[in-house]
Amino acid sequence: MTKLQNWPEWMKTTMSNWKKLHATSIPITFITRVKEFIIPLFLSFFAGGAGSSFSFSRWLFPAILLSLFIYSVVYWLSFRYRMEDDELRIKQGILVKKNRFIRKDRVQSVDITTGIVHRLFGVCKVKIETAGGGTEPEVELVSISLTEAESLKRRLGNGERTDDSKEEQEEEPFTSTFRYRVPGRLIVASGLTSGKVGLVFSAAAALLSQVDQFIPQQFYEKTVGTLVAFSTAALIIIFLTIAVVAWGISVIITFFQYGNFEISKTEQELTIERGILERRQLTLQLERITSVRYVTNPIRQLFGMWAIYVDSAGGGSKEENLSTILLPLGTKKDISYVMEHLLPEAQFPDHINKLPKVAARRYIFRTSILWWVLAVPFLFWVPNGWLYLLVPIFFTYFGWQRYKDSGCLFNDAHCILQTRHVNLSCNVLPKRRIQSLTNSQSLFQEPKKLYSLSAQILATSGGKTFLIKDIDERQRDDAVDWYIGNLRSSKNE
Amino acid sequence: MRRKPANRISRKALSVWRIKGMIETSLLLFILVIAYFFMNDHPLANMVMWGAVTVVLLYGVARVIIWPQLRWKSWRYEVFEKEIELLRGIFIVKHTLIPMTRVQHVDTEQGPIYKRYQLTAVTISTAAGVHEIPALTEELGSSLRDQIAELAGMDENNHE
Repeated sequence: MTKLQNWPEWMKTTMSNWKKLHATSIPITFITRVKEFIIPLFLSFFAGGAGSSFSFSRWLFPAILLSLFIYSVVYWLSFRYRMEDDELRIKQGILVKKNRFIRKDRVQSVDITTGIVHRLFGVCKVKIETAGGGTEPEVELVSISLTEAESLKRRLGNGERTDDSKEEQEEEPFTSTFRYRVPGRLIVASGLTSGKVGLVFSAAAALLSQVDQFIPQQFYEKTVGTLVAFSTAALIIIFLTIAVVAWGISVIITFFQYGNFEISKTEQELTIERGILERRQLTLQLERITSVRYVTNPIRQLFGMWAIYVDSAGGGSKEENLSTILLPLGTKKDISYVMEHLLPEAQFPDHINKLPKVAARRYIFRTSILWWVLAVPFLFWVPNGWLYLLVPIFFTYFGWQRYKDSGCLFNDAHCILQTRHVNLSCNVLPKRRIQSLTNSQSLFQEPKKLYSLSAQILATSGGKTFLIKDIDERQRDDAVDWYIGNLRSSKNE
Repeated sequence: MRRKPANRISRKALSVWRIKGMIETSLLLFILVIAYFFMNDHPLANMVMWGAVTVVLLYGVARVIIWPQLRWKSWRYEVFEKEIELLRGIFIVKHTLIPMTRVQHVDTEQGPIYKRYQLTAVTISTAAGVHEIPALTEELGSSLRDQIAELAGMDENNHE
């Protein structure tokens, strides 16, 4: 506070407008810290339990807990924030005082999360991100009231109604021009077809492999003995049961995470709301979206279903690989309906330019060579090893499919790079968001006059590169002309 | 085929890269020497050791004699009014375009070896990443930096 006299007059007079976080921020911060310190806490707990004498280790656990609690209280006491003109100002810290000013026009995303604990008290967590890499948000308001969050969001938003804060009372003051609710059946379908099954399954397997250490040896031998007696049929049944359970769990997780999925658009703002227990509301500026990706996996493709992901300089979440799911699942019709209202110029393309025929062999080679090499030992040393040949044959086909699915297109304001690894991904990148464009040619590509093309954009994690391999010379020239040719002719961005 | 970017980087880059190559090679050899003291006299261990030494020496030859020449030959750049072009790479030839409007800032960088040879590297930052033009003479480097800064309109607030 000693610096107060140096501060401008207008600031001194408005000092009292600084707001505190809601008191629930104490327990919420505390719980978050405990989660972060779970390993040291766990260790110290057992260290204390083992020593019977009055010792240092006994006090470690309560000491850590207490200091975490004090930290939470101090954090709450020292944290102040306020909206002043077009800036959000934050000061925090006891020993090191930190002041942070965030200009409204630098805000990339506002993320309002209402967890179960939050809901009990009618509060929420607000995360505000500006451009610039890093997985940590610029500002995190651990717990503020819902109305407060709503007014903050509006004031950081597109400049509508910045001064009148009276309107906060209304529950839904939105003047949404577009609102779309993803039907529950599609959320379930997205859970059924998501790659999460594999994750849950491997987690279950890992857990089981840990559990068997705790099962008494005798019991274990007995059961295994019985199992072996039941032969492979029983093992397959058990395996399938685990798979089905894992599948069920993954559907449930998806349902809770993405249930009640709602997209709405107000002016140039896009809001995504989702979640059953923990509700997350993310607000992005539509014009700041740096990539739109239409993604499908082989199973979803069978049913003609796609998901839409978007990248922006902030707002991506960890469970979505630092991107944002715009639409968890939908048919081509759903997609075009949603995109028509949100970003009509970034629609799913009708057609793309396929790769040249000479590229096919390289795609097949890259995808299947390893499996063909592995075939050699199988053919020579494994009885019935020829059966293995199905594997490289499959990957050969898969490589061909990857070639067929790849392509690119350059239209006025967007470039479209479509590639497949396992998932088919059609990436639509706005030209004014591409930070640099690189084309490259390896020694192997040279004789076939093939090139690779990569475009760099800004995403939540920092720079993100989209790459397409083996385009021909004409496509390469198209890309370069598209990117800088236009630049040379038109002066303004 | 398009015209290649006009400018090459300084010939002195060769010396710098050779020194760096030598330092790298000697470091690797040093590690091998230390490893040698911890190894037992098993004939197989000796064979592995000599194999490793050969590999490191071959690497050194490539790094010090062959690679700098190829690398220097491959490097080209040109600064236009509206964009910057970079061309480089031996096995994979990379051609990068950076529009001026995307340039956020330019720096010159000089490490101890560069300083000795009066060289400097120009780094060009966009929102999504950093690009480097290595080994330019000091005068050229700083004038290029200023030129890019001006072309990118850094004094005006016309980009985010």
